[in-house]
Amino acid sequence: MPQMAQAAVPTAGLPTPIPGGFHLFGNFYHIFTPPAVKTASADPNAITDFKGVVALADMTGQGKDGAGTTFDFGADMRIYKGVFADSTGHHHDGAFAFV
Amino acid sequence: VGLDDPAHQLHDFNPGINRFPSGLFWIKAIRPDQARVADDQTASLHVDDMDVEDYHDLINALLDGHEQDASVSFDVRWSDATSAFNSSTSDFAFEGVQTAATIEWSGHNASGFTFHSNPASTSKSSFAIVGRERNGVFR
Repeated sequence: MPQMAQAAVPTAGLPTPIPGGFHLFGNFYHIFTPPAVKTASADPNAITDFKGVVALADMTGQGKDGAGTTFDFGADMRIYKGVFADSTGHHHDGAFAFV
Repeated sequence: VGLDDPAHQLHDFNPGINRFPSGLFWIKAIRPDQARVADDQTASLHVDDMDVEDYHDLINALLDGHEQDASVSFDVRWSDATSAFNSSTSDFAFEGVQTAATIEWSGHNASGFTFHSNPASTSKSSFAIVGRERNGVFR
């Protein structure tokens, strides 16, 4: 997916989305996929104005539903834990899960 | 988290986009003790009963289509660092390591669908990293 930049929606007290991301279905989404992150030129974060620890895992596996039927699954899971500045410039400690 | 493959996907559990479509993408605040990163090389993420939505497939999720209330619990572990992984642009700088990762999770939706993954040891990671990052005003 093409890497682009577009203004994000600012919200006081909350983190601000990264400026980058991808354009699809006429919308701009402020996130990069794991394959894009793997190129080492795309931000693994969903939050900008952030400093802290980040973890990302792109995983697959199997499991069962309540009837015992087996399904494959995929999961992109991430941690963002540290300090972020909101749209007013105030700094906050925060921990977030990307699910 | 979602049930693959994309062409035949039945469920897609995520928190949604806060202020669709340009807002925060699929993230949810958690308690600090639910995410642990040790020595910048290992990490864990454990959450029970997180309220999310079941969008049923990725395209519907990206279009903010019909969803059902749902809940997921998950335990993700990052370990076994293999190599350095550094990335940067003018917007961000990440310095860390590439690792292996495992997940065990369960979920259910308002229609009564339930799912429980096999044990974490049976899951596989195609790409996983742990590290420190600065971006935006902290870059």
